[in-house]
This record gives sequence, C-alpha cells and structure tokens, in this order.
Amino acid sequence: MPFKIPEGYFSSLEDRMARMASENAVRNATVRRPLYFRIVQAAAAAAMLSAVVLGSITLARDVSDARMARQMADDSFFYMELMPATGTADILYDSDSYGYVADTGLSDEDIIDYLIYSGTPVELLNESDYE
Amino acid sequence: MTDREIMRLYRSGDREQAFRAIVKCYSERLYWHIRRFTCSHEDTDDLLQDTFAKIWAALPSFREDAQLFTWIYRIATNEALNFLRRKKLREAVSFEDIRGDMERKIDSDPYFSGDELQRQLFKAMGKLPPKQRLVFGLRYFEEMPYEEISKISGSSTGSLKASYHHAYNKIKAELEKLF
Repeated sequence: MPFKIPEGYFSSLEDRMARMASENAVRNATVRRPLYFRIVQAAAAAAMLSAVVLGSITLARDVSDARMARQMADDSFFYMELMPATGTADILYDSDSYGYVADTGLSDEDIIDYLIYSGTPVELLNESDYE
Repeated sequence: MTDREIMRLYRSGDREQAFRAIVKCYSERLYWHIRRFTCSHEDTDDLLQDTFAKIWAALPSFREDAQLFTWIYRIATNEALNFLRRKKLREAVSFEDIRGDMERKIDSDPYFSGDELQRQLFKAMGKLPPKQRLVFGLRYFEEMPYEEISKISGSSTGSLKASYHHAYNKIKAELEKLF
C-alpha cells in the first residue's frame, strides 16, 4: 500500500486497546451483580407486575359492579315514579295486619278523596267497592 | 497466534489476553482494509478503534458459527460502510462532492508515499460504489478468495465477481484517460 503510517502507531494502538479492555473489564466486574441478587430482583419485579395486573383487573370488576348497582337503583327509582303508590283496593287493607279495614277506619269520603287524588276513572270501579 | 488458539484462550477465561491477541493479529490488516474506504489516517484510526471496541463488546456473543476472521472483517466492513453513509448524510452533499473530498484527501495526505499512478488508482477507487470498492480492495490488494469475501459481505460469489469485473473496467478506463 502506498501509504506511510506514523511511527509506532500499531504498538500504541495495541496499548490503547489493552487499556480499554482492562477498564471495561473492571467496570463490568463492578457493575455485574451476583446471580442470587439478580434472581431476587427479577422475582420482585415479577411480584410487582402481578400485583399491578391483578389490582387493575379487580378494580375494573369492582367499578363495573358498583356501576351496575347504581344503574339498577336509578332504574328502580325511575319505575317507582311510573307505578301508582297503591292499587284502588289496597286502601281497604291495613298495611300492618293485612286485615280488611274498610269498615273500621275509612269513611266513604276518604275513599272518594283517594279516588279523585289517584285519578282513577269511573269505568274501573266495581260497584262493590263503593256500595 | 491462530484464530483457533485465540478462541481457546478466550474460552479458558483469559478474555483480555484473547482480545489483545486479536488486536495484535488483526490491527494491521484491518487498518489497510478500512483505509481503502476512508483515504485518511485519522479517520482510519477512529474507525479502527471503534471496530475493536465493538469486537470486545460483542465477543461474549460470538458463537463461532462463522470463522473469527470473517466475523472481525464483517464488523470492520460495516464500520467503514457506515462511515461513508454518515459522511454522506452529515455533509448533505451529492456523491460527486464526497468523491471530490476524497480526491482532495489523497492529494493532501502527508502519509501518501506512492507514485502518480498509485495516486490515480486510489482516486479511481474512491469513485467506485461501496460494494465495488469493497470487493476490489479485498481481491486486488489482499488477494482474498471470493468465497471469503462472500462471507464478509453477505453477497453471492457470482455477484461479487460481476462487481469486481465492473470495478476493474471502471478503474482501467479512468487510468487510460490519464496515462
């Protein structure tokens, strides 16, 4: 090859490379940790990861259950508003003893007030209810 | 020391000694191999250091599927080709300008010791595409068999022969213009 090389270049290169290898070897030796330490590290990382994954799944399920319960409660309130508080004949029964109370406590006036209040059409009334 | 002896030394646990043996055996060959790409001692020195640093770092993962010689040359070749790519990107100029830069480097190289014909030969080589320059350099200067060049470059021997043929004709044409 028609090129010159600086005097002593290759021996200097060998020295530099040997120095680099020694420094790297020392650095690797100090950085390199014992096997058991790396196993413990890996196990800890795996445990942490499992906790995060399981936690995420459980939390998602709880949130979903809570949302469903709230939805059902909202729905029941909604339907409760649509349903009449009582049927037309229920007023004749005592809510505690389930006994027939028409003869004991309620007057005809009470019944008529209730029918007016609940908007019950006349067509739905049986004669026996108000006779 | 042969490649086999170097690897035996490495496997025995004396890694630094094995690496020193690699540097001793290969530094001169790799120097000339890289210098044919860079045309400058300073660039060659940088790339050679990078090459040996990579060899040192990658030695633990060398599985001996390939020969040590092939593996080392492949690393050096990749470094040289990456150098050309980086140069092209960094300077953001056309290939013509890079060739002009290389010609200037050859003209102003204080370490050039050849005659005018050799100077023109290197200038003509600087005009070749990287693959042709690779195969021409290894074949013409190192007389390396095509099979070995194929292992280094990853190209088929047929393709390498064609590349060498094109490179030879281009260099011949360049030199015939001048002499």
